[in-house]
Amino acid sequence: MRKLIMFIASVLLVNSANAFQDLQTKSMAATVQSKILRTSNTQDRLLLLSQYKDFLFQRLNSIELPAFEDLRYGDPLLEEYRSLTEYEGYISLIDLKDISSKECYRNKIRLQNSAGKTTVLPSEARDALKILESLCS
Amino acid sequence: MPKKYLFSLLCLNLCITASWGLSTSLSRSDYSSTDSSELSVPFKLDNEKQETAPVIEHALDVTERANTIQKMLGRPGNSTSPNCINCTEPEPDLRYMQCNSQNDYLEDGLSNELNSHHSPLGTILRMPLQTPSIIKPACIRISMESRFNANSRLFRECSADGKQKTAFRPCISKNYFALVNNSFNVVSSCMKEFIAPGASEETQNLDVRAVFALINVESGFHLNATSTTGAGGIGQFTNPAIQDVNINELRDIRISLEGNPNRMCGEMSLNFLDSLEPIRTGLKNSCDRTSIENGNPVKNMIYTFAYLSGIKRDMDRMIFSDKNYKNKFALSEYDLNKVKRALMIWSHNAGPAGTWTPVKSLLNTAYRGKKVTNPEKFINEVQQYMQKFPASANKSSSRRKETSKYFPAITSTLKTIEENVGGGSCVN
Repeated sequence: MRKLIMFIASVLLVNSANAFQDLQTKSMAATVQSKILRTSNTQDRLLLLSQYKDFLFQRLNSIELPAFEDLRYGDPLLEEYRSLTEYEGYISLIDLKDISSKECYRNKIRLQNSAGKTTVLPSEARDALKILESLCS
Repeated sequence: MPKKYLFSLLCLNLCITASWGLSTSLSRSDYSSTDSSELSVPFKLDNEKQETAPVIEHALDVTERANTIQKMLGRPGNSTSPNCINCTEPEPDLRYMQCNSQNDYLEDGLSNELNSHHSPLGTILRMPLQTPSIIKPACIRISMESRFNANSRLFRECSADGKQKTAFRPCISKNYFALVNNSFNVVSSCMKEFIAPGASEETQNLDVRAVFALINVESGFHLNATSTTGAGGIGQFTNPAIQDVNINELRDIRISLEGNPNRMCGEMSLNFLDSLEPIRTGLKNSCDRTSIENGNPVKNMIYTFAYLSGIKRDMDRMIFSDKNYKNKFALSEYDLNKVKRALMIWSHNAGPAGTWTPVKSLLNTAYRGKKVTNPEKFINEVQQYMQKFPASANKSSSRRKETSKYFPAITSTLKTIEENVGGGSCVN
């Protein structure tokens, strides 16, 4: 029974280990979404997005990684950084000229299709879509 | 009861895991397949040797190399002349195949187009081969001949009711070659401003050359090449790419083409975009991407340029023009274009996220506080980072290998073609 529980736990862990865990980024994402939803002015919303983009860039440039040669594929540090970088890419892809349904739809399609998947969207893209949805709500 | 519950939970999880794995294996084929015998992978995946990425470099001044495919192409000097104003030069003496009952299935459709004076494809078919073109006809001819052998069955024949069946490589007849060559000539001339707006003619021509190199590997310039993954046509389009072009690019393409001083470009927009339905997604509409009756190969070529333009524009905005990232590059405009071109090509296989994830990882780690000063070195590093920092869609071992080798393979096959064509370059 213990083995079975451990096996299920490991399967669950694999399923959930696809997104970054960086607390600063997750906390900032929640704050930004909340602020966006409380702001009705389009320019203010886009400014919040721009500030979040800057935050992500700075975060990626402050996390220390071992030398490239010392990093093995699958290393948790590397996976965390990789995932955060992919997410930062989706966020920087968001390019709203205004907040209209047409612009929002265009951005959503591009974001979804940039993942290179048709059936399962990566968790990084799903997290970025939440930011887009808050902007477009 | 707890055992039963745990067992149910385990089954549910295994199902989720299996469906995740299945969807990953399906969707990782969106841009290319992992089978080296299929369309998008012109290289062996199990080859452990790391090939470095030669950059698609300046081709205009390359000295003439030995022409070993001369027998196939006919007499020497069969490339078109960039100075042909009235196009009175003799037609290139290209040798064409004798068609047989297995590979002549496009011939009736081609004859119908050729004989119809109201058909836009007929107009393109009737254009003389020696019309000034960006890419030499000899290069397109080599691509059509060499990418797939005549017995390959990675092709589909479309029936009148839109159904498809497996077919041999089409017969490379005079009409078929004229249609493909002239279509690429017209589309590249009209779309070069869209893919590199405001750039010098040299830059635009090198971008067109990169698209040529990509199509060469993807479909060998055969309009009905189809992969088992569902990608099809000249540019090997998948459903997401088609959807993206339809929603994000078509309107801007029309504006660009209709504003082009070349009257032919406006007519192309009218005849192939306004008068015909956009390419539809879905397996049942596969003929939209491949059949002559649906305006191919012109329409598929327009989509190919449009999709790559969109990728290039996004990459430019996210990296090269972004206030945070642009300072990481200390390259001349020429060298910066080399890098942009490489990333554009890579995105076709790796996907946009599959390209920006390793590129941004590289810029934010190895180039933290440093600047990119050598484009070749940077491109080789991107190749290494694709192995360790892949996007989620490319995490499997086979995809990491495939995506990292894609650009080197494109440049390698281009080099082979250019070594065998008069002038040593495919650019006229």
